Order: sequence, then C-alpha cells, then structure tokens
Amino acid sequence: MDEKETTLAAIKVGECLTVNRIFGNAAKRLFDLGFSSGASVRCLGTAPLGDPLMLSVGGRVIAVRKRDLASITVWKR
Amino acid sequence: MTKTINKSENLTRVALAGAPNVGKSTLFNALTGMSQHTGNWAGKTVEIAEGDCNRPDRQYRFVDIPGTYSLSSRSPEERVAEEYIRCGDADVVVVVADATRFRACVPLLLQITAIAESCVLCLNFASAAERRGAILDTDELESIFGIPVVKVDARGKRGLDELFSVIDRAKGGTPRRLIIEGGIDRSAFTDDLFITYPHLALDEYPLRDARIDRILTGRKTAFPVMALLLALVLFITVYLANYPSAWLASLFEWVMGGVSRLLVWLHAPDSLHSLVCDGVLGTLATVVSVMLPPMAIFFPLFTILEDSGYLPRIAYNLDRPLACSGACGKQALTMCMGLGCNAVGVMGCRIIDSPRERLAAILTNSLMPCNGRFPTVILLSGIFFASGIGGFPGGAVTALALTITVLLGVVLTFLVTRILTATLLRGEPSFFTLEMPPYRRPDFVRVLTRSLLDRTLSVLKRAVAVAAPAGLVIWLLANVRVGGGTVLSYITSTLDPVGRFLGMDGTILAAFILGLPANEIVIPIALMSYAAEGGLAEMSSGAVAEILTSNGWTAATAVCVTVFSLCHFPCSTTLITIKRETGKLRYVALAALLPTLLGAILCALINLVSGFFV
Repeated sequence: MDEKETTLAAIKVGECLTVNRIFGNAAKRLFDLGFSSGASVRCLGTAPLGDPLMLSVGGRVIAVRKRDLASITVWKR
Repeated sequence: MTKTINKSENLTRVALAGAPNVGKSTLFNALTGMSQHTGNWAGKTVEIAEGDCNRPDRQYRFVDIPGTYSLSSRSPEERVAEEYIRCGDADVVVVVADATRFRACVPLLLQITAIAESCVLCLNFASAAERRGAILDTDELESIFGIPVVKVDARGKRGLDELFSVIDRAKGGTPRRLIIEGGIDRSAFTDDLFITYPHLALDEYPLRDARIDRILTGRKTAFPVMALLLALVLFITVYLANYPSAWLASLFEWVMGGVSRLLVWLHAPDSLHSLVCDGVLGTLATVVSVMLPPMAIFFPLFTILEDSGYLPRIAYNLDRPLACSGACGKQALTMCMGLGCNAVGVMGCRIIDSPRERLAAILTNSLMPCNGRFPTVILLSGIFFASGIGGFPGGAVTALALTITVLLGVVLTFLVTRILTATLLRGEPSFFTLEMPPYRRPDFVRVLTRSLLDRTLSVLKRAVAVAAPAGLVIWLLANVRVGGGTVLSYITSTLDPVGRFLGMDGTILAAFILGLPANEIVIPIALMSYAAEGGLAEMSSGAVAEILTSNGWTAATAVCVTVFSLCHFPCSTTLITIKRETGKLRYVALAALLPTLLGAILCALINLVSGFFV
C-alpha cells in the first residue's frame, strides 16, 4: 500500500479523501465545520481562478482556501 | 434586553437557534414582522434581535440567537449562543434545521438538546426536501431525538401554526431528553443515524446544483456571466425606475402647488414662499423622486439573487483576486450592496469576520457607485456620448456607460484595497470559509413585499431627514446676498481655480460639496447655480445640455465629473454609518479623504491628458 501522507490542499476535483489529522490555528474552526478525524471529504470543484475549492463534508458544501486546507492531513495514493 | 426570568403564564419566551444559512432569520422575520428590534443581551458585544408575536390566546417573545456551527466558546457569537441557551431565560429553544441538508444540522442539534431545558426541532425547507425524495415523518423524528418536531417553510410562511402548537406542547410538558451524555461520540451517532434512516438525508450537492455551478463558477463562464448579470441588473434598475420617478415628480409638483397656494393665501412673504417651495420642498422632491425608485427596484433584485443562492458563488469566484488584494471574497458581496446604497454596503461589512478585512471593505465601499450616482452618469453619458441616439439604443448606450463606470469602480476598489492592506491595514490573511447553500427558487412575492416595504420606508425616512434641512441650507446659500452676489456664487468663484485644475469648475466642485447629504442633488445644484435659479428645478435633458455646453462643458469635463462622482467622499448617511460601525472618527476621516484624493489625482491627470488633444 503506497499511500503517503499529504494535505487536503492536494485534493483533485471529484476525488474523495478521508481526514487524518487537523492542526494549526484554524483547526477548531475546521472541526466545527465538519473536518473531523475520519470524516470523508469530496471535492466538488474549484473557483474559476483555481482557489478556493468547493468541498462536501459532513453533509455540508463549503468553499475553503487551499492555504487553510494545508492544515488538514490525509492519506493519498 | 434584560436577563429577567419572567415566567408569566401568558408570555412564552422562545429562542431561535441553529446554524447559519438554515433560514432562521427568515423564520424570525415571518414570526415577528415589524415588531423586531436589536439589542445587546446582558451587556455583551454581540447584538441579538428580539421580536414579539401576539396570538389570540398567548403572547410570544422570540429571540434570534446568532447562527453558529457549534456551541463551543470560540467566538463571541458562539459564547453568547451557548450562554443564552444554558441560562434558561427562554422557555423553549427552537432549533431550526435545513431539511435539505439535515445531516449537517444534527451535530448542533445534539449539542443544544444536551443543555437546553425544552427543545423543539424545526425543519425548514421541509417541502423542498420532500419534493426531492426525503421522507420526514415527525413522529419518527420525535422518537429518534426525543423532542417535538415540526415541519415549516419559512419563506412561504407555512407550518407556523403547527410551530406554535409544538412550542406550547414543549413548554407545558416534561422534555423526553435524548440520552446523549458526555462520552458518547456524536459523530458516530450521526453516522449511524443516517445509515439506519437513509430517507432522512438528501444528497447535499444534487446534480442540478452541479450543472448550474458549472456555468456560474466555471473557468470560462463565471466572469462573463457575472458581468452580464451586472449589466442586466443595472439596466433593469435604470429602465424601470423612470416610470415611478416621473410619477413621484408629478406627485410632488401637485403637493408643491398646494403648499404654494396655501402660503399665498396666508399672505406669506415671497422669501418664505420661495424658501419652502423652491428650497425645502424642491430638494425633497428631487431627492425622493430620484432616490426611491431605483432603490426600490435594485434591492428586491439583490434579494432575489440572495434567496436563489447565487451570492455566495459571487464571493467564491472573486475570493482569489480579493485575496491577492489582501481582502476576502465576502467583500464582493458588500460591494454589490454598495451599488444599491453605500450605507447599506458599509453595514453589510459585518459579514466579514476579520476586523482588518472588514475595515478595508468599509473604507473602499464608496468606490462602488451607489444608486444615487447613477442619474449623474446616465445624464452625462446621454448628453455627451449618446447624443442623437434616442429610444432603446440610446438607453442601451447609457446602460453600457453605467456598466463601464461600475467596472471602473470595481478595479479601483481592488487597487485601493491592495494599497490599504499593504500599508495601513497590514496583517495575515484571515481564515476564510464560505458555506454554499443549495440553489433554491426565490419566493418572489415575499421578496417583493418585504424588500419593497422595508427598503422603501427606510429610504423615505432617510431622504426626508436629510433632504429637507439640505434644501433649506442650499436655498439660503443661493438666495442670501452678500456684497455683490449670493453666498453660493462667492463659494463657486473661490473654488474655481481648484475646480479648473481638476478638469471641472468651481460650480461643479461646490455642487459636490453641497451634495454631501445626498448624491442625487449634485447635478441639480450645479444646474441651479449655472442658471442662477433660486431652487432646484426639473429640466429636460435638452435644456440641461444647453446650460452645460454654454458654461464650457466638454466631453472631457463630463468624464472628469463622472470619475469624481465615482471617487469622492461618501454621503453623510454613509459617513454616519461608518462612525457607528467602526466607532472611530479617524476611520470616518479616512473614508472621506481616500476616495477624494484618488478622484482628485485621476481628474487632474485626465485634465492634463485631454489638454494635449484639444
């Protein structure tokens, strides 16, 4: 299994990844929005200029900047 | 609001809690109507809205707790929400949830049921959810969550009677509490819940939304669609506003005629007659008939876009460029509001969480031309750039000129925001997230009635409060004679050198300064001054063209006036709002100085450059 740990900022459109850890200043706010350990995140699209990303998590659709997604780690093939 | 425990039999205190974007405010408005007011609970800094609803047998007082995603003690809003629910001030806590995104609402629901005495679950957008295939059985939900459940549609005002009976039931009876104590994993409970009861959940991002987003946020289509929509909104506002404007103008003429006859009958001196009719009433007539119709059209259009779910997409599309300017996507929304009225735009900056970014948005809001400045742009572009083209094509040309002016305002806003965040407002980019609600069909009837009534009344109040005294002052300046001429002519000639340096003249500059109370009166004041009239008067565009050209106006002058109209100090109402929102006079001064300085620089440059072409 050659999965490596990376951040949610690397998610591609249509991809579904599972949250591993959240850290950093925004951790608590992200947690409240649904980015908890083990939560499944699906990337629904990107803004026309590439940032932010539109994600579906915990039954909610939110736009998050890549910069802030960098504080969420995931396992990716 | 006081923290009294008034547990009288006939008054039921109900707290409305819930996450943002579930329609809580719409429900609150539907329940309390015009009786609501905001205040600070127990001296906290977060404002809470309160309103009453009097039913035949009972009175209800509703408290709209700030929408939060969680009840932890992170932000002031969350702390206030939690404290209010915990303190037991409310007899019943109604947790408002979005039935089309129910899964996302469960965590907060569980948090609230753990600490509130009596709870009710209110499923908003229930019929929309059921139309999409969700099966919402209130009995089943009651057995799952242990609290009474009711289905409503806040926009259509459906289910409200059931809500009241459920509130009564919750108040009266003993709560069957859901057994979720500390130690039980809420997210595991939520996951299991929707595995056991899959018919409660809907796909939070249905195919329809995906298709629409592909157009509205797609790489190639997002910006053209936004520009087109802007042009469309401007065109509709300007075009439709003409009719009520004309109607209001004749209404005022009729009123002025009556007042005039009354004054004559009372043998009032000529000067008093002129003061009242030409001064006060004339200015009032101009402001109201010009200010009211566009706003009464623009804000309903804006609310329709808001209701449909499109506005967050605008913020989403523009977040990257705004982030490059040191701001955030929500500033795009405050800019849109500023198009209608800068005072509304400034108040709307509350949606921006970071104080630094909020300030940047407040200080630059007046670079978006408000409805009051539209007539200036339209009049001038009609005379100097679309002369000879009548009817619909002529209207299209002026709408185009207006759109270009607005886009220029957008560019300047980005520029000035960039400069601000690099100098005075330096800091780290904030944590920015934006919830993207599902696309919903707006309730046009509710939008029209609510927007029209609210907006029209408040604009009317403000117009009268501002225009009447302004009219008095202007009349005095234009009619009181000192030395050889009127005070106004003295001001005009003093300002002339500065005015000419900026590609305009003293009259125009004086008009801008005197137009501080309301941008609508700038051109009318200039015309009055040129024609040496005693008061603002209605003129046909042909007559206006005459006066302007005979006073030395060229196309270059029109461009300078348009640019200065875009970049000058905000109107007095906006400045007062800025003081209220920021609390500091220095920001008011900055908000006045920045655009004016920018406008002066641009106009001087245009004047310089146009000199080479003459």
